[in-house]
Amino acid sequence: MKKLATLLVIAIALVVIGCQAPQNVVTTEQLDAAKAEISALKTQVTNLQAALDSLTANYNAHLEKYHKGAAKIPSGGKPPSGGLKPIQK
Amino acid sequence: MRWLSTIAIILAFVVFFGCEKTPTLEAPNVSYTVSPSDSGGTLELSWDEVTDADGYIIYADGAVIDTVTTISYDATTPAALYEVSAYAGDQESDKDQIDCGAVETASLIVYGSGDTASTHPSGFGFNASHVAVAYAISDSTNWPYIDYWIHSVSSSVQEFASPSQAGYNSEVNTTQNSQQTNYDAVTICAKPGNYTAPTTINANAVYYFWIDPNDDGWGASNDYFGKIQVLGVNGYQITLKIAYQPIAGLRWCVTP
Repeated sequence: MKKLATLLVIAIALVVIGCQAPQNVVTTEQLDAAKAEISALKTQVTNLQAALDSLTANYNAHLEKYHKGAAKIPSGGKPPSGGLKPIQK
Repeated sequence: MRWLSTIAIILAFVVFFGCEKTPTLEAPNVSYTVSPSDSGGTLELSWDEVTDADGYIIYADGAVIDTVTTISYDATTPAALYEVSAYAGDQESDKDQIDCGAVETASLIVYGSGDTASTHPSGFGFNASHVAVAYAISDSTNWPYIDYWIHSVSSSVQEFASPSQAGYNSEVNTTQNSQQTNYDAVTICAKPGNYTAPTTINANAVYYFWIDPNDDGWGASNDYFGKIQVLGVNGYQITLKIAYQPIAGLRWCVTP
């Protein structure tokens, strides 16, 4: 009986100690998770770079299309001296 | 024998409950569209369902404004930042956020077109970072970048004008006096209908602006809104404070 009791106490101790979160110890799972996260971040950076390139290209296309294409060039670079034709929208 | 049973029961409890971990609630992945139903006054937020979530908490500029059990939310209160988190019981996930703040140019000096100094810039436009930049209209290489220019009616009367009205480029961009002088109180631009060009410039007034490059009415593809406060008028010289909403079609103009 005493032996059984001792075994129980040891079992409890093992369970309690076993359930404690490890301190300052990096497990393989954590390491793998960190690696996966870094890999995902690298992918995100690549995607962001692609998005930025696309945005820059769109911006340049916008400038080309809407600011250059149909422009009527005022003579001598001087703005109209009289009143402007009103626009309301 | 009885104490042995007690220990066994305790042991059973420890084994069953001791190692239980609370599952982590994932943050929702929020996306948005600008609502055409009220010409850009509403930001429609949506996200995928988060496993185990009871619902979602909506924040506007850091304050809780609503909780929902749906996976979408129509944001009608203008703000600079919207955030959404998931919750389950008393557990809350991290927040995902949508930056909807206007980009501010604190001070920009431009001059009426009647100013005799040719190097004094009369035009301004927005660069890729959404910051307002002044451009000399005497230099034709600047014309593609001009979104507005200052037209002089006289030495004491200046107007916001559209670049199309001088042929600098084809954009038909307009403004509207908000009839307010409190810049921060203007959080949303008016719907299209009463935007004009030219528009007389009054000191201290706050104006809405609407950039409509292809002059096809409100659209969420390449129209942009914002506000301009006239900080000072000194003859031809005009000092402006400007806030530009980078989300196409959205009429909000809250600065962070």
